[in-house]
Amino acid sequence: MIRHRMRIFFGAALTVLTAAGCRTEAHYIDPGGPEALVTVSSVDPAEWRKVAGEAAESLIASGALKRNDGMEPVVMIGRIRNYTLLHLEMGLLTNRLRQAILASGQAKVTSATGYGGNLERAVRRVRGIENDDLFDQRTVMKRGTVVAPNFSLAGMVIQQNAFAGRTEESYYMFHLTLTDLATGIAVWEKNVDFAKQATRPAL
Amino acid sequence: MKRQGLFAAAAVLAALGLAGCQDTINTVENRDLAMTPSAVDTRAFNTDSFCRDRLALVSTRSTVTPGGVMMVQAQIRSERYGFWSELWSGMTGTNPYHVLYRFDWMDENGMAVSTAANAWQTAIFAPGETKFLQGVAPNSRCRDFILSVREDPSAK
Repeated sequence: MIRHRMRIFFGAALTVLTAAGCRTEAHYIDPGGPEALVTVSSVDPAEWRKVAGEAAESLIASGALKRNDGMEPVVMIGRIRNYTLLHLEMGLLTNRLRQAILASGQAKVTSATGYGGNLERAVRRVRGIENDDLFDQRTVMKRGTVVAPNFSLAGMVIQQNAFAGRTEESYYMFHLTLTDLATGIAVWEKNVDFAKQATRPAL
Repeated sequence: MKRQGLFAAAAVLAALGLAGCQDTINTVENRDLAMTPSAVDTRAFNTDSFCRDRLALVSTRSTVTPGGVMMVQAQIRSERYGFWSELWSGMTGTNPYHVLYRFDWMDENGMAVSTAANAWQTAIFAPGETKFLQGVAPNSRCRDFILSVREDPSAK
């Protein structure tokens, strides 16, 4: 009887120790590295980086940001429409694209206008103080000094899901377009796509 | 004696069956090449002997793009074809072979330049497949690069 109880006790202790050993402390990971989670149902950090990286490389390599009219290239980050059923934070993509364009030295990026966000509000607000005697009017930004964009970067993301038995597959395609605002002609386009698949357990 | 014969026949049948399951890439190219690529003399620092043996660096080429930045393409071929290699990769769940790669770029002062693309990218190699891992410099001042390749453990 005692031996039986001892067996149960040691078995329970072993189970508790094993379960405790499975715990993982919070730790830092490389957001685009192999430790990062890969899910079928969403766009993961590594994929945002992939899309931004491939698009930025293609745009910088293309030479599409060069202008023949002598004007300095200025890019407005437009809307990237989300045609998926997911809530996607497009800032994860557009912020990287802004940085890549600026770092390339091929064009400037405007914060004065664009889709969404609050980047452009300060440019307009600061001109609202032009009659405020609190401010030295010589230091107040004047009207007619903001440089207008001559390129617009916009796009869309599309998702398609497929199921076959216990296997689920998600396909995502990002499509980006750079439009010359003087002519309305698309001067650069890029698709970045990826697909992910997972099979649920039978039980 | 009869049993040994049966074993041998079964082994041959299994080998033929497995060999028939090979899903390798076969290629044809024009013999007289018209291209005149600008080859890059490279030196490699390998720490993963498995990755080194499974992927062969065929060539590395560079050019300057219309945007005035340097572009590099590393032609890499999967060496995981042949009966034993296919058998092993099938058993270990590494067929096709998933790798991650990343380009790091240096400016004229040797300083690493941060880029939007400075992240691990995925590449999936079927046995015998050749792929071109491509990197574009973030600006026209970058002339030197490091290509890092590692196995993707999350894909096993």
